[in-house]
Formats: sequence, C-alpha cells, structure tokens
Amino acid sequence: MENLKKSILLSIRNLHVYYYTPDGVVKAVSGVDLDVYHGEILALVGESGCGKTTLGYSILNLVPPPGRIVSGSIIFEGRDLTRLSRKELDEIRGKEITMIFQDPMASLNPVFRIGDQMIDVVVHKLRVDKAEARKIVLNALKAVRLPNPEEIMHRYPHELSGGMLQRVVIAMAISTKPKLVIADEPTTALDVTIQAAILKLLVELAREINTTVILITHNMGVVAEVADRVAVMYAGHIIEVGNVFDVFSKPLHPYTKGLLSCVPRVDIEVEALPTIGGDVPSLINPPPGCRFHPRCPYASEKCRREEPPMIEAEPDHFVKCWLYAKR
Amino acid sequence: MTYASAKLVMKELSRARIRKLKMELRYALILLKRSPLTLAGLIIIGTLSVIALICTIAPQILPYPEDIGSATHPELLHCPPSPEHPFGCDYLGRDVLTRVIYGTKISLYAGALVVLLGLSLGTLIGLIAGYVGGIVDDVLMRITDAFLSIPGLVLALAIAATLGRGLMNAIIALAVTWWPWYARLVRSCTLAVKNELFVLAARIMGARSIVIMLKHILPNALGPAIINATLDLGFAILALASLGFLGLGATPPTPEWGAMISEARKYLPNMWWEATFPGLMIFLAVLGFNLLGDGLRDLLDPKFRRGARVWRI
Amino acid sequence: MLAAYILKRVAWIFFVIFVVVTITYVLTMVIPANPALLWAGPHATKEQIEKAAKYLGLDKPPFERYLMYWRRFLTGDWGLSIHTKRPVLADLAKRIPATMELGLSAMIIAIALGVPLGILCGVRYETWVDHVLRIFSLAGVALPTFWLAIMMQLVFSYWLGILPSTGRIDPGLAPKTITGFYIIDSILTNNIPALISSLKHLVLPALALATGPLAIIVRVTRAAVLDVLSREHVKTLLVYGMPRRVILMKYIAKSAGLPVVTVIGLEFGYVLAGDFVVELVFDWPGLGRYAAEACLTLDYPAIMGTVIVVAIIYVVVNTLVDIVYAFLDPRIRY
Repeated sequence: MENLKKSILLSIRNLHVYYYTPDGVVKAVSGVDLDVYHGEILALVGESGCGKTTLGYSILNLVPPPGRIVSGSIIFEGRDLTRLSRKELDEIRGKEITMIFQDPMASLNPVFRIGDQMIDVVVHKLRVDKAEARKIVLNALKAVRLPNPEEIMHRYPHELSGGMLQRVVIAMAISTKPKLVIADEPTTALDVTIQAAILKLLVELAREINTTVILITHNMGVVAEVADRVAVMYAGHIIEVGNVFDVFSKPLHPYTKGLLSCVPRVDIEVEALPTIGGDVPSLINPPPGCRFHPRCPYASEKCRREEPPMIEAEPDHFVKCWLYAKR
Repeated sequence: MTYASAKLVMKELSRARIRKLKMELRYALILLKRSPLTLAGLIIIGTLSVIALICTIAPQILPYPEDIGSATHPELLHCPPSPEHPFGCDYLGRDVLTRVIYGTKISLYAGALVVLLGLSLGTLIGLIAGYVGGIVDDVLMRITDAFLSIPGLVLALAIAATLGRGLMNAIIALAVTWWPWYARLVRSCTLAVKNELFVLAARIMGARSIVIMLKHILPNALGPAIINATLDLGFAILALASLGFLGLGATPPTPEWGAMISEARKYLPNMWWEATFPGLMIFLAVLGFNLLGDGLRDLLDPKFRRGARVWRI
Repeated sequence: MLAAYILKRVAWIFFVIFVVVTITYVLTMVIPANPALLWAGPHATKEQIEKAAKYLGLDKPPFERYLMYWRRFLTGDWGLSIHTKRPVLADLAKRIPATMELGLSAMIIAIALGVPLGILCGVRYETWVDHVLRIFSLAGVALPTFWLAIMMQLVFSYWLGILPSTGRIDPGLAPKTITGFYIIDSILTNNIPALISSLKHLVLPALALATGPLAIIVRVTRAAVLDVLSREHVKTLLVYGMPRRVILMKYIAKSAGLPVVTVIGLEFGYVLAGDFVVELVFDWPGLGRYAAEACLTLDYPAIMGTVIVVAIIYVVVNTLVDIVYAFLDPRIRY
C-alpha cells in the first residue's frame, strides 16, 4: 500500500500491562511502542502467551482482572485511553473501537435472539430508534453475505454454524461503523475450509468503510495474505515492525527469521508457527537484556545484559535487536 | 491387551490411588488455610463429635446424668435459667443443658445411621443400574426419578406414620427416601469407570462380574457418594428433628432435640428456654456440616456450586 | 416438538401419581401387621376396627384389594379422618386455599428478595457484601423451620406484641369467599379491615416459611451470576460499551435467571414440607396443620390423604416449571 495516507490513528507509547496473579506478577506487555495508521490492516503476530491478546484488550482499556495497565499511554485521536473515565471509554467502545473474539459461539448470549442483541447494540451506540436500528442491522447482515438476514435475526446463536456466527459477529462489529476493529484470532475456532473466506470478508468490509483493523494471529500465512503491515511480538515486547513485503522478504530479527524459516513463499498458508529451539520465556521472571537471547543463535554478552532499543534498520522497518545498532 | 499388561495396569492403578489420596489431603489443608468458614465448620463438627463420644463412654460426667431419662424434680418444674441450670429446667424439672448435650449423641448417631442406610441402598441400586445397563438400568432409574419427584420428607412422614412412633422407625423412614440421590451419583460414577482400562484389565484376567463390581468399580464409584453422604449429615439431622417435632421420631423421655421442642411448645411463651436451646443446637450442628460441606464441595467439584440439595421443615 | 415434550411431561405426572398411590397402598396394606388397626386409629373400638377391615377389603385377595384401593382413590373416597370424622378428601379440599395462599406468599418473598440479593452477591463477588450475605444464606439453610417459626412467634407476637401469634385473620373479619385466598377476596370485595388483618396474620408464617428457600435462591443466583460473568458474551457487551444497567438488568438477569427457575420447583417442595410445621406453630387452617395434627394423633387416613395431595401438587408444580423453562430457554432440546 504505497499510496496509503499515513496519518496516525492510534499511538501506543511505553505500555506496561501486568497481571497480578497469586503466583506472581505476569508482565504480559512491557514497554510496547506501536503506531497504527488510518485505514490499514495491521497484523500482530506471535506465539500464544506472548501478550498480543492482552495488547488488544489494553487498547479498549478492558484488561481482564487481575490484570491492569500499569503505565504508558494509548493515544486515540488525541485522547489518552488510559486516562479516560469508564463513562468516556464506554462512549468510545463499540462506536469507535470494537473487538471480535476467537469463538463466535461464545461471543453471543445464547438466550437472546441474534437480531435483538445486534439491535440493542445499535440502539445504544448510534442512539437511533428501534426501527432504524433494525434497518442498519439488516444491512450489516446483508453486507456479510448471509442468506436470509431477516430470518437469521430471529434465530438463536446455537441454531447457526460457527462460520455463519462469525459473519454475524463481523456484521455486529461493522454495524456501528467503528474507526478501529481489533480482531483477536477471528478464524481460529472455525473450520479450516472457511477461514480464508471469513478473513477476506472482514478485510474487504473494513476497506469499504475505511476502518482500520488490528488482526491478532499466530498464523503467518494469514498475515501474508491480508495485512498491510506486520508487528511481531515476543515475550511482551514488539520486536519487529514493518510492511508485510519488507518483513517477509527481508526479516531482520532472528526470531522473525526463525518464524519465517519454514515459509518458502509468502502466499502459501502455514498452519502454525514453526518451532524454534528453546522454551518460551516466563513472563513472571523474563530473562534480562534481550528477551530472546536464551534462544538466539547470535546472542552476545550485550544481549544478555542490556535490552535493545527499537532501531529503524531500514526505512519504515523497525527492529528491536542489537545486531542492527549503529556502532 | 495381554495378561501381562493387564497386570501392569492393575499395579499402576493402586499406585495412582495412593497418589490421588495424598493430593486430596494436601488440597484439604490448603482449603482450610484459605477459608475460615470451612475451618469454623470443622471446629463445630469436631466439638460436637467429641461431645457425642463423651456421652457414649461417660455420660455420668454430664451435669445431671439422671435427667437424661424420665427423672422428675417437682421443686424444679419450669425453673428459669440460673447458675445451677444455665439453660433452665423443663416440665419435669429436668436440666435442659444436660438433655441438650445428650441430644448431640442421639442426633449425630441417628443422622449417621440415616445416611449410612440411604447410602447402602443407593449404592446397591446405582451400581446395579450402571453396571448391568439396558432395561434394568431404565427401570431402576425411572423408579429413582419417581422418588425424586415426591417431596422426600412428606414421604418419610407417611412411612414413619405406618411404622409407628420411635427413633428407629424415623431413621428407617428417612433412609427409604434418602437413597435416590446416591443411586444417581453412584450410577454415573459406575458408568464413567465401567469402560476404564483397569476394569477391562480385570475382565481380561478373568474376574467375575460380581468381583469386578465390588472390587474394581465400587471403590471408584463410592468416593463421591461417601463425601456427599457425610456432608448430607446436617440435613439428615434436620429432617430427624422435624419428624421428632411432629411426634413421629424419638418418643419421650428420649432427649432428642426436635421432640424436646415439640414438648416445650406447650409451655410457650412463658417457658421460652425449653424450646430455644434445643433449637440452637440443631442450628449449630446443621450449620457446622453446611459450612464444611460448602467449602469441600467448592474444592472438590465446581458443579456443586449450583443446586444445593436441602431438606428442611 | 414442544407439544410432544409437554405430552411427555404430563405422562410423567401420571406415572408419578401411579407410583405415589402404589407406595401408599404398600404402606397401608402390605407393611402393617393389621392395616385395620392403623386405619381405625389408636383408640378404636372393636367394631370400628372390624368396620375398617371391611372397608379396606382385608377379606379379599391382594390383587382385588389393590384394585379396590385404586377405585376408591379415583372416586374420591379416601376414607374418614379419625380426628375430624369427616371424609379426608373434603377436609383437604377445604384447606387447600389457605395453604396455597401461605405457600405462594412464601415463594414470592423468597424469589423477590433472593434473586436481587443473589445478583448483588455475584456482582460484588468477594467483597464484604458478598461475604455477609453468604454467611446469612448458609445460616438460613441451617435453621430448622419449626424452631424459627416458634422463635419469630415468641419475639414478634409474645414479647414485642406487634403481630398476631396465630390464625389467618381476626375472628369475624373473614371476607366473602370467592377464591379462598383472603388477600385476594378482601381486595375483590373492597374489604380493607379484612385485608389488613389477613396481611398481618400472614407476615410471620410466610417469612418463617420463606427463609430456607430464600437462602438457597440467594446461593443459586449468586453461582449463576458468577457463571454468566465468566462467559465471553458478557465481554462482548463490555467491548461494545453497553450501559452497565442494560448488561445487568437485561442480559445477566435473564441468563442467570434461567437456572434459578429450575430450582423454584424444587424450592416448592421445601415450602410444602416446611408448611406442615409452620402451619402447626401458627395455627394456620391449611393442609399442613391438618397433616401435622394427624401425625400427632396418628390419624392415619388423614396422613395418607395429605401425602398423596402434596405429592400431586409438587409434581404438577415441577412439571409446570419445566414446561415454562422450556419456553424460556431456547437451547432446550426436547
């Protein structure tokens, strides 16, 4: 996307999010900086437990207990989301930023009709009357190409398949025309055969209404197919950010290289991340210095002692690694 | 599966059982540390058990041991609480404190007997239904469900009335209505265990059905039922007291709490102490078991956080 | 599909009634050494016992006796009460409205207080509100109903003197019978003194009867709310910034309310059982006192009759609850 207008929609600075569990403080996100541009599809990738989902929740300032945002700022259109009151946040949630979860079956209340749930959201978010909300919901259901949208509104969640439900959830997300949609592994719970279709639909619709998407995934194939930019997360840090083409053609961080080592071509879908030697580090007691150093073939003494800064190694291609520090 | 591997399975099983027991004990200790309410329950039950034990082996150390029976003290008729008789005296001049303490033994033993009988019957039916399956299972479970569709205490009332007054009859009446829950529980455990590797192993080793049922399935199916039965003791005590209150349980002069209240009711409102203290003891005993049960159920099976099964009058 | 389900449930009612009647038959005819002795009561004369033997058909073969028992059950001949000397069924019919008024009031109190308190507990999980209410509900379950009734009577009627101790209404104030429910009848006939008097008489027994079910409903609701609160669909509502009021009053209330509906039928059983002793203590002229007095005097036909009626009421109410639940919960598969 060379011609993308590069105005910043969301800007995360030095964000720390910790979970205070009985076993200790889990530092799920520690010192993350990230800019998200208007209208782009940004993929946030990493192994499970690296903090990517927590980062997604933080953007809505909805970190599940016992977690909370410890420090840092999340600037969304000039407002710092970490400093807003619950009431102000509730105004933004759903209307300007919304989120799609992994399991569509669990995301909808099983004892309410699909239409009623969607209408309720539209009524409260767009402040329109029920009849108007109904029209909006109907259009949204048509937009996600569900057959018989009228009938689907009368159905209960358990009466639809997972794929149809995820379309419903997407319809619900776009019905309020938000500026940012955070999609947390939106196709993982679905049948493999329909994953691509659902994902393409999401991206297509987002582009249509000029909505920005943060796509959280562990599937590199997905990233290559739909994203504009990619941010790689490892153990609570973002370690590499860049355009999809740049990152895939010339990965800089040893971890990213490892991730892509099994992907001969960017347009081939891979089931999961290839394994990299060593263990995923504990987020309660993360290793000092660069968090990847215990698994890194290039680790030096410096990597063990000092945390590397984010370095712009190539234009618009950032990496958090001492290998690229200007000496 | 070969004979040798079957044998290995059996050996591993006994080891696994011991490991599981150890882990459960550790859990229990953690629970007690975290939950003061459960600890309070344990203390109450412990104290009452000690009292019941003392009443069994050395009733003469009670303040007025002769008042357990039908002694009369005309000079003490309805005497209000005083330093000599902290809980006052009843319509025959008997010390209420002595009778209330002795009632602990009666209620605890009788409650245990109800639960034990109910558990035996329920285990038998549940085991047969679960193991044999098919039409036997269907018939037994329909009957069990029908019993569950009748309010148990009301049915117990009818049985007690037929058998006639008396503590033992009340115990039998309650036990007859008490089994369906255990039958269901044991059946579901039996079904879960029936196709486990070690049962298969025992079958390959040529064990007979009855042996498999008693030796291999029963110990595994019984665990949850025993835990439940123990925690149901509180409700059994409550139900027995209710029958006693309705005149269908223990007969005078037995100092059973419910029967004591039933007698004392005639002298209300003036002689309030005669009805108040036995009731407090029922409350304390049932509360103790409930506190303990609440904590244990939370620990052992989150499923129980939902419907609590309670009998009450 | 729903029709088939309802049909199945109604068939179940009949099966349970069959079982109940058979159990009472076994209790009456098979277990006692001489059924006529039980049936004629503890102080019966020789003639009365002979009459009872003839009535029960003790001279006939067992199977014929069983058929006779059924015929009498179906034609409404449930025997004479030893105590009141009137037909048991007529006695029972006369007392049902009083019991229903008391039982339903207790249920309404238990639900109206229990559900909101349970929601409060669940929402304020692990705060002092939750802890206090939990202790109260654990204590409520452990209280013997008959003792609680006596204590309430002692404190509020005898010591404080603010509420009447016994009866259903002050003498001479009873409203014209329309439904048999004094509260409804006095409203219908615009009889204010009767309404006040019957409400005053109702408070203590209804509260005593409601305490146990109230405690259980609080616990069940709390658990249900906690369960719902752990679900993903609540997260969806939060992500959409829905007003907390809507999340709580609409979505959580319905999701958590459904499991509560299932225990209401069960609770009704406790109310029916507790009703026996509460009516005895408060001298409430209903089924419960009739049965309790029958127990105390060993009025056998009256006991058996009440057991059958109570069992039928219980199974019918539970079936109704199940059917209502099937309507409310779209996930039910028949």
